[in-house]
Amino acid sequence: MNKQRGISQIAVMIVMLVLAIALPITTNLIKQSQENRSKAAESYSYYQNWNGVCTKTDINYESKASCESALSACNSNTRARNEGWACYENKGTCYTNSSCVTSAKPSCSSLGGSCMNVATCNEEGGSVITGTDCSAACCKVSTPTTCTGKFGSSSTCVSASYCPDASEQGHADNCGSGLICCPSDKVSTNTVTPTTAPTTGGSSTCNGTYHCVYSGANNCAGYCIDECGNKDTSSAYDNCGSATTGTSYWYYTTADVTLTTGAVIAKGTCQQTSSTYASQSDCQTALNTNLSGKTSGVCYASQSACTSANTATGSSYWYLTTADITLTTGAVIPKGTCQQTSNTYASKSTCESNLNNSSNNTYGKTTGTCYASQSACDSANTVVGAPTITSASAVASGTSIKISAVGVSIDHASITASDKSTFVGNMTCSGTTSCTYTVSGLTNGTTYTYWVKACSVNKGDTCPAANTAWKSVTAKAGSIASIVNIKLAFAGVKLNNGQCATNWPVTLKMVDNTGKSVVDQVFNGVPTQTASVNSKGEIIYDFNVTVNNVPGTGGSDLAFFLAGPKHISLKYGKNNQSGWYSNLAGTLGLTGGSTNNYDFSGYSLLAGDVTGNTAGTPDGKIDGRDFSYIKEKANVLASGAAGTNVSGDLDGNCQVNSGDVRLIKQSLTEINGQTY
Amino acid sequence: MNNKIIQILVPAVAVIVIFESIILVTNLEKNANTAVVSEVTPTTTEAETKVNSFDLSFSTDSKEMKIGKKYEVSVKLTAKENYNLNALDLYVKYNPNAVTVSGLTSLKSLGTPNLLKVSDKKDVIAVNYLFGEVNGMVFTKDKEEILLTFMVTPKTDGSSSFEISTGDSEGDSVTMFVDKSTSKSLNFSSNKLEVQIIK
Repeated sequence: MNKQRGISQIAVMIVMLVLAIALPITTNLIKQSQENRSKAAESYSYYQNWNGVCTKTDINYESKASCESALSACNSNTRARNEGWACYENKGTCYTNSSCVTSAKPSCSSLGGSCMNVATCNEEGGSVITGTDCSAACCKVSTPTTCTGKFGSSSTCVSASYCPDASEQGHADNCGSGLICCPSDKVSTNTVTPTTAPTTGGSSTCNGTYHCVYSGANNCAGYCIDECGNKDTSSAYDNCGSATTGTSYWYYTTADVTLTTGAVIAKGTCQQTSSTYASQSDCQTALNTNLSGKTSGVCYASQSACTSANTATGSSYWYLTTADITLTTGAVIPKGTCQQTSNTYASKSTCESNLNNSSNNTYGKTTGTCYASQSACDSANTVVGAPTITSASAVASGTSIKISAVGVSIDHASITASDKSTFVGNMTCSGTTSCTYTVSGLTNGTTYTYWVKACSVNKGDTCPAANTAWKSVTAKAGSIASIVNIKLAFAGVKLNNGQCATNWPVTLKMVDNTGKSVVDQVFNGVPTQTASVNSKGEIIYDFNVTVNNVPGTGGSDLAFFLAGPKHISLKYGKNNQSGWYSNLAGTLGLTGGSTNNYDFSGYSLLAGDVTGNTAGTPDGKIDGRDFSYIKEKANVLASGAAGTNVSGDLDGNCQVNSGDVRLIKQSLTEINGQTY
Repeated sequence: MNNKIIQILVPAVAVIVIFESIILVTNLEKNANTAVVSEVTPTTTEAETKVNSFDLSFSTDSKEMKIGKKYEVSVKLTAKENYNLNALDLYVKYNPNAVTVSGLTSLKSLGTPNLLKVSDKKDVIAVNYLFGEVNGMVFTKDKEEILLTFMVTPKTDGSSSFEISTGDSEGDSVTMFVDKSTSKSLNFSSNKLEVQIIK
């Protein structure tokens, strides 16, 4: 009996011992598992790139170190990763550290280096300088007078132009940026550089890489040299001065030509070239270059040949330009213009042959069809499909106003002034849907109205009435950027109790007395806590934004709408406002180029917008759902660490409790009182 | 002798096991509590709740009303199931040019409303309740309750109507029954009261 009892006691003893050992082990394993899950919850999933933008990473990382390690290993977006990046647990934290945006770094070139990867730098025998503006490495290579490239120590560092034969140029040498290693005996000693162009006649054209070197009277005794100073003796293009021998030719002017001396060669004149040319082809090239195509483009060997070739009788014709043509006088023949030919032609086919002949018609910007009369030209180009501008807008920037138009089938649109008849300019169109035009030199503070009309692809700015799609745009020429400094407070966020209200972002929208947004953007930012409080003991925050393109100066009828992360958009219409603002027009000014200070801390942002149709996502309203959401969170005293955003925590004390329930009730009372 | 040692050891080890159980498991619970840092918030939408949870209906003694006389109109509420609500926002839309509304009386059992007003800015009667009770306010299945009573005094002849507002152009005046468990608005059905006003 005793023996049996002893055995059972030993069995119990063994079980107990197993339990005593297993319990701590099992507990430890569970604890580790929980810690892992905890770490996973503290995932670092945002990073801030070099310009301060917070971006969500593709995956969540278990720790900040693993996040940073993974990002720095990434080849893409190296600048973001190498300059001021860091990993953050959430976007709010990321905002807080906006100061980590890259401060100005010294430029590599100012330190005598150049940007290249480390391997190349090593190959060049340079040393890497860290902390510069290079996305790769900044490499400083000392420049020796002799180099050790593939030619050994007998080589010299020179610029490429002093070592013209590419096969002689060293590779992977140690001469540094901009220099190459060249065998010393191949280095050119030529120091001649091109001087000024000839003042009359001649050409600066040389073959290939040859320079033209001018000298003598009127710089006309020129010649072509290569990089090493050797003259080009093989080319007929050695015509950069009067050194070239050849023949002068005769050409027929098709428009008045004003020479640089001021003299005018009348249209229809058979004129002798002032230069001599090696061939007729050279002459024609020079004509089309020097006289901007205002000749027939044909060089005749003699005056008589020229005269006889250009005595054609017949009629002038009309043709349609298919692109804007700028004449040498500066005048523009707009696209879609029915233009009369300057020559007369025996027949329509002769006219068209001339138009389509690329040597005669260097512009090539006509339809290639000749019409007997202007009316025939016009009627033959009746617009098919009226273009339509669906909307147009004007944005002021300084003393300029940029006008934009979008629509259908437009590739040509024009601007007229408010009288609809004063032509301002043709818009530059991209594709067939959008066009832009910038009017400059306007007066600050003045409101301008323009009319935009779409035109046919064939009709230039002479839009037929049937195809006119007028749209008016108005903008006030503005000044430069303004700074807006706003003091604000969040309801219930009090001093020494706002540990979780350190990075609450706010949005700002400015509207004029018509309710339209003054500037075409909503400003986002994170106000900074100050040590000051308002009359209710709430912390005063500073919120600064830079506003570009302020339309006009001294505006005085603006209202600002401010909203917080848990705060509905509240209207502020006057400085030092202390209650609900119910007037339509505000009284706030926004002066371009100045700092505009406003204190709205006397009427704190109303808190309570924490949920809506989607649980936990604010919907811009405070209602019963928000109350319920906060109440339920308060029932379990939901909380978080300092600096985090605890959903439902309105007073920023990192916990949802009765104080937050009281705050939303106050907000609802205020809102209901003003709304109903 | 051995038996004596075992008799001493067994309770001693048992005490150790019990001690470990209490201390270690308690620590485990602490860890488990602190590990839940970011809670996952459900993202259900109202569209998922399609069944009407409440019926709202108007009732009045007469649908033909004389100008200058006072008539009582009631808004009745019937829950389709038992519900615990944290908030109730009721907005009745009417034409203030046709009738004058006065004498608002709310359901006493719901306590004092947070808002009970004939709006002078919008054409609505506004009634808001915020139920601070831990379990919210219980609405019993199939129990009809008079949520609101008000007096109507017609001003001009013709037809006029009263209806439950589901929101205006500014997104205000949205009638909602906010469920305690989800903090979302429950669906409801309502009728429209058309009255003929005569001289």
